[in-house]
Amino acid sequence: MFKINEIQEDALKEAINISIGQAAASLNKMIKEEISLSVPSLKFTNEKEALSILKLEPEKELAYVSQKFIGKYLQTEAMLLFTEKDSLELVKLFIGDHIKVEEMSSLGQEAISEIGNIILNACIASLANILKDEISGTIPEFYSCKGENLFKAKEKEIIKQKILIIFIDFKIEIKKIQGYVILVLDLDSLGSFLDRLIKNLT
Amino acid sequence: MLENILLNQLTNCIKSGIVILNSKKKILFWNQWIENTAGITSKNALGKNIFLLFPNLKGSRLEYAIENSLTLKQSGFISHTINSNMLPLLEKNLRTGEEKKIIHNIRIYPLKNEMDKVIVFLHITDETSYVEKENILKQKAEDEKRLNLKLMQEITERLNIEKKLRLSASIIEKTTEGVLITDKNAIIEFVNPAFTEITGFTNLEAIGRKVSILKSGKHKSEYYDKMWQCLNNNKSWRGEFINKKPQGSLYVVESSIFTILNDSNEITHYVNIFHDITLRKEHEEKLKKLSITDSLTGLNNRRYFLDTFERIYNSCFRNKEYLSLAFLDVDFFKLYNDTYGHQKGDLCLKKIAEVIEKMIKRPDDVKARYGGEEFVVIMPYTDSKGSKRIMEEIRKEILNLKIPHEKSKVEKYVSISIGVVTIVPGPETLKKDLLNKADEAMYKAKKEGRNRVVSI
Repeated sequence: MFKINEIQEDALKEAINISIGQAAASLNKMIKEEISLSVPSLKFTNEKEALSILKLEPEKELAYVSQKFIGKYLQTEAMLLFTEKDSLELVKLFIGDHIKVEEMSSLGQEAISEIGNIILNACIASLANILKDEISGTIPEFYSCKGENLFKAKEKEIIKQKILIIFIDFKIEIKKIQGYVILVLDLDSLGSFLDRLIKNLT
Repeated sequence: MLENILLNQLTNCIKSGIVILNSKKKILFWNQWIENTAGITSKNALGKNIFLLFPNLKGSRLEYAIENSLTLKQSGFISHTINSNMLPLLEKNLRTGEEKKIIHNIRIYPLKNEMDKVIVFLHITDETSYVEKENILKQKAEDEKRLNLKLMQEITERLNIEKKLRLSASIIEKTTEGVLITDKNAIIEFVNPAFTEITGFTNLEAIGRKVSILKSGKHKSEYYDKMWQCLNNNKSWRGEFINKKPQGSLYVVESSIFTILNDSNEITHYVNIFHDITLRKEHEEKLKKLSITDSLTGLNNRRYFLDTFERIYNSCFRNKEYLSLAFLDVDFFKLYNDTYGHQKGDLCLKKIAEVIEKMIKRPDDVKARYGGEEFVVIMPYTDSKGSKRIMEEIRKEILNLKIPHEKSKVEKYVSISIGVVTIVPGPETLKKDLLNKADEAMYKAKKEGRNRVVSI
């Protein structure tokens, strides 16, 4: 697997942390309760090992928001992933606790989409800043599936081997909601991304 | 130019808002829909900074997203679900004239113009009917849940009631208290096993019949009338019944009766809970009898005599009736005992008592053993002649028993001396005097030779 050294990893994490902090600030504006976001660790892996790294059962129902980003050095599909249960908790947090949310409604999907939009945009913005790249993104889309089907559709789409950068333990402190930011890159794109990243971080 | 006209026509057909901002956030394009819903004509909107038109949106998520779009070329999605600060868009109902807030989402796309400058395209979509539909569905689901909850509560409640009922039913089955439930017309509806045990009527024999099948006839109808009256006024009654078994024997029950009322406070049922107190009653009777009876002769004892004498005296006093009192004393009884022994003496007294018992038959008369060999008889409503005659008969009858008394100085057999006194109690007479006079008469009979009746 691809590796960046410890100093580089720390720098990357720090940059992501700053933009995540900004994302948290804008989320805080929308709800009364204070929320904080943290990004404590970073992993490079492939789709096959992703589930075990995420400690997710294949049967687990998942919900995620996806946005595609295209820049000169980074072409990626960014995902904000939750278990279905946590995604519902998150919706509750924004829509109001008095409403009983037991399954993801279209309105709930919209809420999650926007939350994803804010967080993913923030992550990509900080990467764009490091890469000194202009990265434009699409409108967020909401998906739900079982754990085992998480990357299946994508495999058919592009046969190229993919690499995932996973930000584990992405936490919304209040309510103990845990999310994962995943960047899906193809192998071609990874080389130029890492080169540029390492160059700019050092 | 043609393109512009086409674009205008096209965007004006669309039932959503299309707004384009330049890099300074000034409005470049403002379609028909947004004109109508924002109430701002494109003439008034074009060229103006969007946040000058909507100053409330300064600092909002929309501003932040537009900023990001312009500087970072990021796309944004702003949903009404989590943003309260959105565009003030209204839809006017053409028929009623009512204005309704338009719930909307905004999508923000960075575009580049012909000079490669970033411009921002806002796509505003009306979500109102969608939200309404969703709310209806949600409401339906909520209602259904509430209904289910209510049903659950009702079921739980019913189960609890059933549990209690089962418990009560088993208690009623097992208890030794008779339970009898009748409808408002006193027709028996329910009886428990103890009912059958006590009354002798099986449930088949009892149910459907009037509760009066239990009656013995020992109570006057007023007794029952009072009971019903009490039940209808106080809703409960406690008391005793002497009832009759179908085989004919009598028994006594102690009953608690209460009523069951419906919501309109009308009596629907009577519940009678009772137990058999026949044995207790019998014991009580026995005890009572023992306390007033002379154990040797079976006649009443001195205490009873003194109690009743007072009562009878007062009764005769009130009614101005004759009252006769007799003292009867066995002649030479000490000698009899000395000769034949105490056992024979007791037997002798018993036989004399039997005679007195046999001869004095009227229920109001009182005959008692006064002490030792002395007996006393009270005869209300009896004049001197009558009382003397009956005492004479008793004297003869005792002599006729022919109980040998060889040491007697008057007869070969046991004889008796009787003093009898008759008065009509009045203000000038005294109870004590009557007793003394009777005693006096008896001594007179002894003095005059015994085996005789002396009447004063």
